[in-house]
Amino acid sequence: MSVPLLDARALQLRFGEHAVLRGVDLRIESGQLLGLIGPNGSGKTSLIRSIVGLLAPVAGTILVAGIDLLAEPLRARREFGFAPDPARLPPALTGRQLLTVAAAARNLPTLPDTTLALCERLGAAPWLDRRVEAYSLGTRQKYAILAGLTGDPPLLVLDEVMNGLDPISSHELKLELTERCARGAGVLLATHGLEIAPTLLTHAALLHEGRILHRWGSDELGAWRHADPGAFERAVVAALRAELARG
Amino acid sequence: MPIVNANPDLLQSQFEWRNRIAGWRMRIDESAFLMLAALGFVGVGLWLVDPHWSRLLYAGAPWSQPLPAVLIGLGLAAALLWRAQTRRAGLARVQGDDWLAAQPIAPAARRRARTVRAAWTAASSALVLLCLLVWASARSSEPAPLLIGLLASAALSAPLLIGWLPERRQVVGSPRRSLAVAVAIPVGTSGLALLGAALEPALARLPRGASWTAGTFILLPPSTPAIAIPALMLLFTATSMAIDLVAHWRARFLADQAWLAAQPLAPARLFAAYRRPLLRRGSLLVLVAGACLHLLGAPALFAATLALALWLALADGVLCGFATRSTPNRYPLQCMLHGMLLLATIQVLPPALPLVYVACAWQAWRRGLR
Repeated sequence: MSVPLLDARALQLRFGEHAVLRGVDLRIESGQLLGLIGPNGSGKTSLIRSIVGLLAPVAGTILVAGIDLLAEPLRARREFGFAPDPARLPPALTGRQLLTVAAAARNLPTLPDTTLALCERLGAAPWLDRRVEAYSLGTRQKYAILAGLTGDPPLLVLDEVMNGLDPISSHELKLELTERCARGAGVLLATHGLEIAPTLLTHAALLHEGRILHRWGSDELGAWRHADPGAFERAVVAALRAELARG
Repeated sequence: MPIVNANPDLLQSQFEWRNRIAGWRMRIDESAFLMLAALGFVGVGLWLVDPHWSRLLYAGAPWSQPLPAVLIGLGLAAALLWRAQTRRAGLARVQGDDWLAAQPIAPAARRRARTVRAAWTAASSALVLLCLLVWASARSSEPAPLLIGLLASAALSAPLLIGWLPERRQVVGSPRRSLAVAVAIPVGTSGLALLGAALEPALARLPRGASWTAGTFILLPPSTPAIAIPALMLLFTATSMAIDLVAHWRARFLADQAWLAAQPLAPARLFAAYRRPLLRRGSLLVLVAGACLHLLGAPALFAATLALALWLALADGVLCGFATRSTPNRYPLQCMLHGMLLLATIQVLPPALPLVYVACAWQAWRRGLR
């Protein structure tokens, strides 16, 4: 049996007295594109930031390709790519410089051609030699994604990366993610875009108040794919309302 | 193109510097003016301090004797090292959550990058100090070689020793979020006045630079009474707080203006929201500065004039901020331009100073309204 690309178990995270994650289990195998969905404040970003080692959980384990992230963060980080928050990109660098620094972080000798090709596909190439401070939100988002995908890491961790993307680049990104999964990569994608879930995702998990409320496997999502548009969204809303009614 | 510098943080710094220099070259006229203006201000500063070098570096002065000189040298070295260490700790905090934080970069590489950057900052301070020492000893009639040598060694200590010092412990990835500072807004405050009221608590902080003013006691002649030392420290603290006040107001003003940009709000109304806290805090600081000057021996009228000049300088700083609200990068240029104009007027035609000041202020106000 192959080692999962991500195996997070019983993750707990607290901000002071407030429990943000209450025992989250998440597993991504090669070829899976797992969507993390949930209302605002449910803990999606905190979970993502814990998985990439930016927040330290108070309990639980995170294995990235079998490597313990908390014990060996450097080795574990080589196994995933994370698209940083677009607002945190250094404003004084040009896009090309930004991607060169991202390549240097992965010990690559040059900026890979695959990154430049993807840059072209996402429509970000005209901005390569302009400074990040001049970028729109969408262009920043594209460069954050490119920084995360540089070096073809086996696991991709992406938080709300569809925000601000135009239809063409959004379509191209979905194609890229699907292609990468077909080649054996795994993707964890936090998103609010429920309409893309049945067609893009192979698995989905609904996070609510720091707990996984519901999981959908590939078969279930496959069934939604053939249902009427909006059916999956209605199912998610119904699950959340039922949970709220339970208190 | 092959990646030459393998350290991502240093590569980023290298790119940033390259872009900064390209930016200066692109605006060559503005850069040249700013450089000349800065040189002009340095020249005026040196001219003001010039008569005191002989006394400060006099070989027969009590502080030029071996023990006090060593203590002064050690104190300066400790202060510079502490400053470099603080800079490195600040960089570590930034690195803990920046865009490279989740990248596979060895902690040692990140540590090296912040040490190199802190050392460069310390080296630039050392260079300024060394230039000043060379200038001062050249202008001094009988300089004390021991004191100068110790001060020069102290200046060089920070960039050379920072790599040897252990870092302050950082908790990377701590789940603790920074808590919002409680904003004590008076009951009944509403509307745009809330913006100004929110400015107040942050202004209560003592600026970090204030502690540095303790070193200014060396400017005092040996016969100065002990009361002068706290008075001088208070004077410098009040002045640095006043400068901090304008800088803080400007940051808040630009941020508030950005999120209110699409509202039907006249620039003058937004500006007016900060008027009360600015006036109250600014006047208080200026009063403290004036009182300190008087305590230090300045005649009442002279102290009041200097306090008024400080108040007017602060007001001009605020008006320059308002004038450059849509082009914030031009703020230093605007301030320097006013400063040069006023200094030139003082030199050439002092009676015209009020008129020139009012003209500058009016022009800045009109530009801000546009």
